[in-house]
Amino acid sequence: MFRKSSHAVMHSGGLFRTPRPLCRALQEALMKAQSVWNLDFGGTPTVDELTFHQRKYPSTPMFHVLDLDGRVVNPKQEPEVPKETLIKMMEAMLRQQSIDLILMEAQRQGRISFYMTSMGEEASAVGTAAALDMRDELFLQYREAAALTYRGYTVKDMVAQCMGTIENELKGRQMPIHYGSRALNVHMISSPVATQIPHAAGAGYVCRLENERETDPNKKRICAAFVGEGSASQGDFHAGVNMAATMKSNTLFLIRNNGYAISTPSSSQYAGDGVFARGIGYGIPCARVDGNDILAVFQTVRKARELIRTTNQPVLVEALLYRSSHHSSSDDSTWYRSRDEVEVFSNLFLPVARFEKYLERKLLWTPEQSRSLSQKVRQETLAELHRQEKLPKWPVSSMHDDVYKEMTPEMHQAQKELEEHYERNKKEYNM
Amino acid sequence: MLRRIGTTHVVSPLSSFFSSVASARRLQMTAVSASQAREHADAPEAVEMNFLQAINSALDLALSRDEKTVVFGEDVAFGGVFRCTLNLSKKYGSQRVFDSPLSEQGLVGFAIGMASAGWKPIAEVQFADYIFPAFDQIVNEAAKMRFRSGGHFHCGGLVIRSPSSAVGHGGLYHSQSVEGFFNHCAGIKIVMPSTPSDAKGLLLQCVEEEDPCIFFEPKRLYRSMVEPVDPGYYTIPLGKGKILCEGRDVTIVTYGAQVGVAMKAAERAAQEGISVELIDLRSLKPWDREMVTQSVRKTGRVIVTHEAPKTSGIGSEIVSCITQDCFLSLEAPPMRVCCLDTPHPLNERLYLPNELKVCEAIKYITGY
Repeated sequence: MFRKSSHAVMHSGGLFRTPRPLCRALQEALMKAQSVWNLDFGGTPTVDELTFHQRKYPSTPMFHVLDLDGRVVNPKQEPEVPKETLIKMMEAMLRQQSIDLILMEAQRQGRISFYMTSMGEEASAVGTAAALDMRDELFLQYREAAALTYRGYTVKDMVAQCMGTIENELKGRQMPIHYGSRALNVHMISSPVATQIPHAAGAGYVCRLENERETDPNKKRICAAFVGEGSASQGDFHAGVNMAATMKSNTLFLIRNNGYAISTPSSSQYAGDGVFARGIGYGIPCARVDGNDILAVFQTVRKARELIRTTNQPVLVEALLYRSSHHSSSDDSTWYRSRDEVEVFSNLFLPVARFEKYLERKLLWTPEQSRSLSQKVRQETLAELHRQEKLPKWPVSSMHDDVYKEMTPEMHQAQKELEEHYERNKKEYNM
Repeated sequence: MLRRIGTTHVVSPLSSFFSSVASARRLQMTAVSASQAREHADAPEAVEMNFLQAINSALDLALSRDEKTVVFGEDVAFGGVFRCTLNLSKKYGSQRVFDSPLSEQGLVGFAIGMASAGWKPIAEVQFADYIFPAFDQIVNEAAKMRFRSGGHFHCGGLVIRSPSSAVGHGGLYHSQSVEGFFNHCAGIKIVMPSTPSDAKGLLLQCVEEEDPCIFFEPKRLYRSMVEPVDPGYYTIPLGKGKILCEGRDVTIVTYGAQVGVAMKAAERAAQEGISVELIDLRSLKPWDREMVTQSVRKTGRVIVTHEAPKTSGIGSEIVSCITQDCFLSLEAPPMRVCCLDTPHPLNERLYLPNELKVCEAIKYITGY
C-alpha cells in the first residue's frame, strides 16, 4: 500500500539546551527512589520544562543485506552461511511456492475446503527457520508453512492435513493449513489469532530455566512466535510480550508485517512506528528487517538468538514484506486494493528471485535447478493429491478421542452410541 | 474502579455462622462410616487446618515433589491476597513461585505455554470474577489443544486455581460462581471442594492430572472451615462424589460452600422427621453421575442446589440427567435452589439460596 507520508519534525529543543541547575535535594531523593518504578534515570530524573514525547516519523529503517539484484550491499554484514544451508533455504522457498500453487488450485476445484498461501512471504519464514536450531520450539500463526517445509515437513504431511485423511497424524480435526509436528518441534497452529504469543512466552520461560540448568551449550534452545501485524493488535500480544519481558523468557517474537489484515490496511491497524516501536515500550531489544531479503532475516534472527541466550531477554523482530496473494481462498483482494499495487510488489521485491540471483553469483544455483525443482514438487504434490483422495478419513470411533487424555465413562457411552447410530445409517452418510 | 479488595481478610458476621456449620458437620458425620466421611482426616498425625492452610499444604507438597512445578499469579510471591501461597516463595525461590503482570489472559496463556513445554504451572486467578479475560485462552486453547492436534500436543500440566463464590460483602465482582460457564466446554476439568481435607486431596489430584483443570476455592471457607487434615501427601480422584449423610426421603446434590447451607437445612428437616441424603459432588466435570443416580432411585426425590444463578447453571445439566436416568423412580419433579438470575448484589441475604429456601424446597418436594 502506498500511504502518503507526512513528514512531521519533532520540536524537542528543550532536550538539547543546557539545563539550568536543578534542585539538588530533589534529584538525590529521586535517584534513591527510582527503583520503586523499575526505572534508571541516569542521573537526571526531572526536567523543568514540559515536553510531550512522540516517536513516529521518521520511521526506523529496516536492515537489509541484498539489493534488488541479489548483490551484497555491505560485505561486512553478509552472514556466513554454510553452502548446504543456503541451498536448503532456496529449496524450501521453491518447494513451498510450488506446493502453494497446486493446493490453492485444488481448493478452487473443490478438492480441499480451504487454503492460504505464503506468496511473497517465503523469505521471512525460511530465513527465520534457518537461523534457529532444530530444537527451538516454533509457535506459528498460519502463513509460515515454509518454516515447516524447511524443517522437513513433507508434501505428504501437508496434503494429509489439508485433506484430513487417515494419514494425517493430527486426525483431520482442523481446517486445512493448521499444521503441527511434535517431531519437528512446531506447535499446532490454531485459528484464534495471537493466542500463541503468551504460550511462547511461557514456553520461553521454561527454556530459560532449563537452559540455566543445561551444561551443554548445544542443547540450549529458545522459543519463537510468529505474528502478523494485525494479530499484534490483540490483547494477547500485549500480555505475552510484556510478560516475556518481566519473566526474561528466552523467546523471539517475529512480526510479519505484510501491510494487510485481510482487507484492513496498516493505517487502520496502528498509528505508531509499526509493531517494532511497541517492543521498545516493553523494554526489550528490537530490530526491523527487510522481510523480502532472506539473508537480512537470517542474520537478524541469528543475532537475536544470541542476544536472547546471552542476556536472557526476549527479542522482537519486525519483518516488513507484502502479502502478494489474497488473504485466503475465501478472499478476493481486488475488492480492497488495486492490481497496480500488487504488481509493483510482485514484480519488484521478489524474495525468491532476489536470493536466486545471489546464489547464481556464488555459483551455487542455476535457473534450471529452480525450474526442475518446482516442476518436481508440483508433480509430487499433484500425485499426492490423487493418491490421498482415495484414502479413507479417520474412523467414526476416533471422533471422541483426545478430548481428555483418558475417556470419561460418559464419553465412552457417547462414542458407543455414535458408532451404533452410524452403523444403522451407514448408507445415508455415504462416507 | 476498585478492582481488588484489601489483602486483610475482613472478619464477617457470617464467619461465626459458618464456623458453626463446620462444627455441625463434625456432629453429622456420625451418620456414616468414619472412614468414608473423613477420608484422610483420621491419619495418626492429623493437623487442624483451615481451608487456606490446606491449600498451602497442597501447594507446598506439589512444589517439593517436582522441580517442574511452579506457582504464580498476581500477588502470589508475598503469600497471596488470601495467604494461600504464604512462605512458598521463600522456600522454593522466585523462579518457581512468582508474581505475574496484572493480566489474566497473559498469565493463563503463559501457563498454557509452560504446560505445553512439559512443566506443571499452577496459575492463580485472584478472583473467579476475573477469569473471563482468560476465557478465550481456556476455552479456545487449553481445552482444545490435545484434541486439535490428534493427541500430539497438550497442556495437561495446567492447573488454574481461583477463589470463588459469595463472601458476604463481595458485591458484583468478588462473589461470582462461574463454574457453569466452563461446564459447557469439552476438554477441561472443574473442581470445587467444600472442606479443607477435600481441597488438599483434590488440588493435588489436579496437579497430577494430565488434563487442564480449574480448581475453584469457596473463599468464605478459607478461614472459617477448620478440620483435621492429613499433613502428608494424598490425592482424591476426580469424578467421585461424597455422601455426607444417608437418607431415605430426598436427595440433595450440591458442592462448594453451599454444602454447609444444605447440611443446615438437612438438620432442620430431620427435626421434622424428613430423612435427607446429602451428596457433595466435589468434582463437577467430570461429575459422579452414578452416585447421584443411585441415590435418587432410592429416595425418589431430588433437590440440586448451588450458588451460581439458576438459568443454565450446573444444576440444569444434573436435573436433565436425573430425569433421563431416574424417570421411573421420580415421585416429584426435580427441583433447583440457586441464586437469582440477576448479577450478584452487595446485599445478598435474599439473593443466596440460603437455608430457609432449601428447607422450603425440602418441604415442598416431600409433600408433593
